[in-house]
Amino acid sequence: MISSDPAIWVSALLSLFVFSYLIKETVLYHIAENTLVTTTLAHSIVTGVVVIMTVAVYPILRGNFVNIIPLFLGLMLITRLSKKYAWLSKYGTAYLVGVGNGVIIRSVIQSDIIKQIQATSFSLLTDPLKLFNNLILSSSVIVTILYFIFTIPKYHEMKAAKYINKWARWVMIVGFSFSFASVMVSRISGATRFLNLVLVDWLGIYFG
Amino acid sequence: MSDGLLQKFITLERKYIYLVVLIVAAIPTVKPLGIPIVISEETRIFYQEIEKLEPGDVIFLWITTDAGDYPEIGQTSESILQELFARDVKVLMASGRMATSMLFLPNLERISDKFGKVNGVDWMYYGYIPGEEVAMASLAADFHSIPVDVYGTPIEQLSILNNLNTISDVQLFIGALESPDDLAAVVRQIHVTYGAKCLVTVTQKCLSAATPYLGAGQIAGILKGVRGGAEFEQITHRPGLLSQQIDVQVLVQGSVLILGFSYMISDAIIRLKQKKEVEK
Repeated sequence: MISSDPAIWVSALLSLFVFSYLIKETVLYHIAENTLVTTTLAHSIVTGVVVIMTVAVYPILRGNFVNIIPLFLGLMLITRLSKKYAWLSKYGTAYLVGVGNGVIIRSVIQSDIIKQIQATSFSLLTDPLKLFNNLILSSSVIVTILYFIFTIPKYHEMKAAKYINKWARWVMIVGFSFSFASVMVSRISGATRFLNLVLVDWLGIYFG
Repeated sequence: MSDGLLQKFITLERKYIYLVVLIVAAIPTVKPLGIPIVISEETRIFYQEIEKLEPGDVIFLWITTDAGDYPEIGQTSESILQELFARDVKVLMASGRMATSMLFLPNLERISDKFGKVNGVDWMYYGYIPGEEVAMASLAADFHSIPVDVYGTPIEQLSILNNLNTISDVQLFIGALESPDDLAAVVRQIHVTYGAKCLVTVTQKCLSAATPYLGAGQIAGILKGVRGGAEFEQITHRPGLLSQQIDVQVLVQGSVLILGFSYMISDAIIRLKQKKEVEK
């Protein structure tokens, strides 16, 4: 039976409006697009204000005056709108970038380099299938790294480099294809949910 | 097969292909086919880690998802939460995206009521914390750095946080992550910095980024997209929306594969024939 919930009606209709783009760019599509943009923006503004009030302003009013510093740095970012005082925004930006990089750098070498190198290395004393898999994996990593080396003089002019580069290109093509396929499957999930919303939740068509 | 038919197939307008895929997807949506779901080794490992938890243990659940990815990892998070509540495990939660609170909070309250759990005692939810990786690092270092929860209740009034200060004090960290950047942030800020055991549920598009971390042992367990979520529902005997979606996923992916391969084969046959005619 067709749903009487207004939220489901709005969701289903807006979803159909978006999918009308498959036929052509319609007014309905623009209605849905603009509704999404405006509601997302409104929600972001409200959420931003609430977060600043709860995390910064109220603690300051309760006596935690240290929070004035990050609040002040955040306000300095707004000076970017003024041509005369835009230079002040660089202090806020510098703080943001500095803290962000600092937090990442302390552990990126361990997580993305050392551990990955350890995982790529392997023991020869293992079962044949595992050994074969490990050989493929390690050799693929090495040839892909070699493909992007441009600091060794005349490396890419060597005869062996031609075969290594071809091998590396195939490895990368397979990798990118896998990524593309993963994204496609992810999008199918979204489309599946859309069909469930329209057919089952909205129109009530279900023979389960 | 005649050349004319092959030529018509490879020049077929997109709208007909969309229609075919739509019909293939609509049929199992309205009439579930009950395609059996085989539980993968990754899901078993994920579930085994949850089985190791004792009543009273505390875990941290970090959810980052927008509306587009909520059907994948949001619903998986709900399944995980149900299993945790069923085991009387306490849950701390936070989000790295604005939209997550709006989408997740009503479902969290529904699941809490279903299991008779109390906010502040059995679970607490910080809500959206801006700053992504920096926010994660800050919260992991000090649970009291955020002064209030999502309802505006001061942290000091929540008994669940008694004797809990950093991420090292919880038994497990579970991340429901929609992007590779979030995944990298969890590995860097939670696993590497604190040595905490991390389980993740990721969107399908994160899989290529997750595989190296899984292989290196930096992630203890993973649920992969809708399939992983559906398998988790099956293994916990709580089939839900994700299990229903598997039928659609299997048929749509199968039809896309068949159409894709048919196109490639048809195109190859026509090109070969044209090449032979040119050679003649």
